Amino acid sequence: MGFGRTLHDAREARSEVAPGSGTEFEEWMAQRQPALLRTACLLAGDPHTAEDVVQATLAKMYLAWDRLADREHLDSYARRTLLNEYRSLWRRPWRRREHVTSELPEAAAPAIDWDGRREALWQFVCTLPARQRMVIVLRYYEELSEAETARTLGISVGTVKSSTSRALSSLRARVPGEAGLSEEEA
Amino acid sequence: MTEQDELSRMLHEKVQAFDVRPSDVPQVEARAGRIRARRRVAAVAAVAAAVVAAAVPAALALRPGDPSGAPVHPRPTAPTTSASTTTPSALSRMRQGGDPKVDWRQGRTVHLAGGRTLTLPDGIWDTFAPYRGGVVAGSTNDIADEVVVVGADGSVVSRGQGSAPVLSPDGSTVTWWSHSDGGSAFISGPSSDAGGADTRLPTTARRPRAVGYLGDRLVYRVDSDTGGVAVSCGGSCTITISGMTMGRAVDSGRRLLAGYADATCPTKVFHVPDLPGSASRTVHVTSSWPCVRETPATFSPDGSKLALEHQGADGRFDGVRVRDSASGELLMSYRTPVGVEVGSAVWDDDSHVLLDVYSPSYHQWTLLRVGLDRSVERAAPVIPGDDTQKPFSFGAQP
Repeated sequence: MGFGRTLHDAREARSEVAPGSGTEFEEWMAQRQPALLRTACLLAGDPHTAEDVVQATLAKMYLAWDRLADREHLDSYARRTLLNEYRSLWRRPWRRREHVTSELPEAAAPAIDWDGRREALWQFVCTLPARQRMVIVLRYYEELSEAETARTLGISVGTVKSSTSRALSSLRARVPGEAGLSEEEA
Repeated sequence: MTEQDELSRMLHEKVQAFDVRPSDVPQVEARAGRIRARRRVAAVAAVAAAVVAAAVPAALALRPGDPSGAPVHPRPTAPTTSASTTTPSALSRMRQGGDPKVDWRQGRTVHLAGGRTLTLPDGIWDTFAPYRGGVVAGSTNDIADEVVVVGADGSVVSRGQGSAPVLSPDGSTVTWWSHSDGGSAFISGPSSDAGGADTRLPTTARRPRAVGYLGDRLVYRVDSDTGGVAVSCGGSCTITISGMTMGRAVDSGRRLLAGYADATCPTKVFHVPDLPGSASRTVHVTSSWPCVRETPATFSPDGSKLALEHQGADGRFDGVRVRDSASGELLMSYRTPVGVEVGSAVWDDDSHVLLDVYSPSYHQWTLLRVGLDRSVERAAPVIPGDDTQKPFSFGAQP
């Protein structure tokens, strides 16, 4: 048996052991899944897609768990994986299709006093191109800085700025109203 | 309150309204197992392809219909496994024929009739149409719509939210939906006359998309989420097509409209009656098609046939079928090589369909030309890239 075969066998044997098994992954998953789901909901716009994207993210974290030596950066790694899953899902050719449905899309039940203005803002976010939407969610929901957003998405700070600017410009055109007023004017 | 503050508050409040079910550990483990199994299958397939590739070249040289008679030995351009570094993919091994006869895009370059080319800005432009000497291009994905107008000199004239353009039956007019000025409107303009004027077509639809023309009347989807098909009949007049949830393709000459009826019998081709006058109303359409579950793509130039994209049991689009427009009779069926997925299908002429395809195993894109006799060749080189890069698309067809 040559070296190559031995190495191969060792890899195969190791791959049969659940890499993410044990309490550490489970504890991390229990702690982080709610936040990942919230971000995924805002990105995907519907809970079912969000659940699917987060499950795929967790599964990939599970498979990679033993290789993730830098435990301090697990959350940022998971966030990047989530964004990649969402981006990949959105841009796959077979996702860029419209499928027949006999039922109207489910509308999320409002758990808050959801006025028309905020609904208009949400509808606006739903129609943003994927990159602008990711930037908006990371900047204004996750409250990341421009530099952190750029690092997470793997784009330049300039692209973050231009994507934000373009989204806000569209917002002013499509959802005119109170937004943009200063505290005093409002 | 600034608009940034308002957005932030809205997102934090909105996220509380979602009712989600978290995965448990066994579900994640099962999903991880499927991912790992898929990776293994890909690796095994690559090894199997290597074996086939070693045995098949001689047979390829003798393949009937290959005028050169020479074996084809292209190399994979973007292998993803160690095995595939020496394995030509099925797409690479195919003979390459001539370029598409219809308008097409490779990368940012649009190839128009007459050999003219134009360069589009960065973006994934799913379709485009000639407009005032330049082009208008649209991204037709289901989350975001974007449209860009490029002048004859290649400069970007405008770019904003909107939907894919469609061409009138004689190719003289291009119509698309624009949201760039804050209002929802169809914009119609000349496809070739640089001095022609645009016309705004009013609509009250929420998220409409143009589908095509019946005569001189525009067919559009009322709402891309909730469905509904309507025909513009001038001014505020709207004719609603009853019994359809989504229109996909129009043959103006035969007054045929391909689309979805309902979930129990999704795809049909309907015959639309004459639609005279300018009074809003609802019309009923008829169909002699059987129930089929393929996705309508485009009618052939002579209108006698409809190309449909076939979806496999795993949900991937893996082939094209051609059916008789009037009866739905199956005339041709073609399945792509294993694992290769179909993006879209248009007609190159009355007897050949063009497909843009992607191989996830090899991370390769190309165009295929499939004949009604099931002959297959490439109509473009193999382009490496992941599934986010979609280098090819086709122009709108009248």
